[in-house]
Amino acid sequence: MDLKGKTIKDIKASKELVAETLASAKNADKDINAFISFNDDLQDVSGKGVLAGIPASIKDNFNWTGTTTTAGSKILENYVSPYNATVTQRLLDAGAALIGKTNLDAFAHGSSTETSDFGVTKNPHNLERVAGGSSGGSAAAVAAGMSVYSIGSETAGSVRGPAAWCGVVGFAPTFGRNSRYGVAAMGSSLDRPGVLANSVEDVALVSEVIAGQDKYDATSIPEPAPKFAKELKTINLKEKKLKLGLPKQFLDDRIDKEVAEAAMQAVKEYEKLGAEIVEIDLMDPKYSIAVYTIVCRSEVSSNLARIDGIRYGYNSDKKAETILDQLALNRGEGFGNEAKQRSMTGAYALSAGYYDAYYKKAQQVRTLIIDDFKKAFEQVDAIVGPTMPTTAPKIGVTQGNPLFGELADMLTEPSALAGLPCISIPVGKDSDGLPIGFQIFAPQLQEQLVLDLAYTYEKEVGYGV
Amino acid sequence: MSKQIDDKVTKKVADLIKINIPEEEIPNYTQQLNTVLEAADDVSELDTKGVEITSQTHGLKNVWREDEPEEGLDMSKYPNTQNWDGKYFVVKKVL
Repeated sequence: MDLKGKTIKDIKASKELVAETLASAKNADKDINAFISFNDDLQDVSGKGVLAGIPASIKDNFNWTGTTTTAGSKILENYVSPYNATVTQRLLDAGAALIGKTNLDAFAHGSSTETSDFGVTKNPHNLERVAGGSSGGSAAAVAAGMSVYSIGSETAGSVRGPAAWCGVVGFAPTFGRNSRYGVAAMGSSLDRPGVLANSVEDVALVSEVIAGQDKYDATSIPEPAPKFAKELKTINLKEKKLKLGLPKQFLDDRIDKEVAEAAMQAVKEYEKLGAEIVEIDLMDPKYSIAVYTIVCRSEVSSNLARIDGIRYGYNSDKKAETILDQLALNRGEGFGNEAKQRSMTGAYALSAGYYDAYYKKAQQVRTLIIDDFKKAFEQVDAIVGPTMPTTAPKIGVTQGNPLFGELADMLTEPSALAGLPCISIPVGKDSDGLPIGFQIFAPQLQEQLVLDLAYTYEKEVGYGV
Repeated sequence: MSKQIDDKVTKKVADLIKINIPEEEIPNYTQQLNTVLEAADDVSELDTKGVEITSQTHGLKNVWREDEPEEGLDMSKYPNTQNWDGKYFVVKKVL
C-alpha cells in the first residue's frame, strides 16, 4: 500500500502493513536517505494500543532500548541505547510500530540534515533539494510514504522547518509538555519532542500519547495535557471572534516572494472563514537569531561535554600522553565540524569576561522577546505567518555558512525561545513545485487552539498533502 | 564585543573544552567563530538594564521529588563498549 499522503484513518493498521512498509521503505530510502537504521527484526511492533499496526518512525536522537542511537553523529555510531526515552516508552506502551530511526543533523545542529555524519536526506519533492532539518529524516519519511507519522524534536524550528519544506504537518507543543528524558540533549531550555504526519488529526493523536509530565525530566510541566485528539474540532472563527496576528516582520523583504504570497493567501482563507486579521509589530527576528545563537550554543557546549568516548562512543586509536589528551583526541576525531564549532562558540560565550556580554545579555533579551509576545497576545489569540523564509534550497547550501541553521529558522526562533506551542501546515507550492509551510502559534499551554486552528484550515480549505 | 577573535583564542577555547583541532584547521574555525559571534553581537543593541534573565520559559523553580532508590541500568545487557569488564570501564593506559 502506498502510504504517501495517508493518514491513520486511511489505512488498515496491521502487523503485515508494518512489515510491508518496512520492506518498501528500505527500497525507497536508497534515493531519499531518510533513515539511519531500520528495525529489521520488527522489534517491539506487536504491541496493542491506539498506535498498533501503524507504520511509523522516530528520530535517531531518541533512545530506544537495544537500537543504535547515533544522534546523527559518528561519535555515537556504535552507541546502543540501554533504556527508552520517555517519549519512546509512551509510544511503545500505545503499541507504536516503529520501522526505523530517522536521519538528522548531527546532534540536531542544523536545518538541512547536511551536518549528519550519515549523509544528507533528500527532499521527496525534488531529490536535488534538502529535506530541511534537523528532523529532516522524519519529514521525508512521512512525505515519501515511508511512515504515517514520525517523531521529531525541535530546538528552534527542527519540526516545523522540515515539515514546511517536505509538505507535511509538524507540531511542537509548549516547552516541557513532552519529556526530554532520553533525547540526546542539544539546548536543554529549548528542546522539545514533536510529531510530523499528514494531518492535524494524526499529530494530535500521537501528541496525546506522548504528552504529559515526567518524573525523569524536571523541566516537564505539571499542568495535565489535554486530550488533543479527543478535543480536536473546527472552530467557527466568526462566532468565537478570533483574532489572528500577522507580524509585519514575517513578510518583509527577507522572505521569498512566493512564500509570502502563499502565506498571505492562507491568511485570506482564515479571514474568509471569519477570523479577524490584525497586523502586529514584533521585535525584529534578528534579535531572536542572536539570542538563539548564544543560548543554544552555550547549552550545546555544556551538553556535549559529557561525550568523551571513554564509557561509550568513538575512541581514537592515537596514543595520548594523559587521559585529558585522550578525551581531546576522541572528541576531536569523533565530532563533526558543526558540533565543534557550536561547542567552541558556546564555551566562548560562557567564558570569564564574556559571560555578561553574551550569555547573560542573551538571557535578558530572551525575556524581552517573551514580553514582546505577551504584549502581542493581549491583542490577538494566535500568531500566524510563513514557517520558513524560503522553500527547500539545493543540496550543498550550508557549505561555508556556519549560520545557515539560524538564518533558515529566523521565523521559528522567536516562538521557540518563548517555548510556545506551534504547528506548521502545508499551504501550497512555489513555481518549482516545492512545498510552502504556514505556521500558527499561541500562548503557552494553548496547544488545543493551535491544533484547532490548523484543523479548521485542513477541513475547510484543505491542502491536498 | 564586536572584536574579532584570533587563532590564539580559538586554540584556547578548543583546549578548554577538550577538543583536539589540528593546527592547520584552526584558521577555519576562527573564521566560523567570528561569523557566528558577529550575528550574536546584535544583542548588544538592546537596552537590558534591570531586565531579569530567562533560563526557564515556563517559570518552573526547584522541582523536587522523593529520593527513593530505584533499580539502575543493567550494564551487562548493553554495556556499549568492548571495554566493559563486567564491573568497570577499562580505559587505555596513558602513562
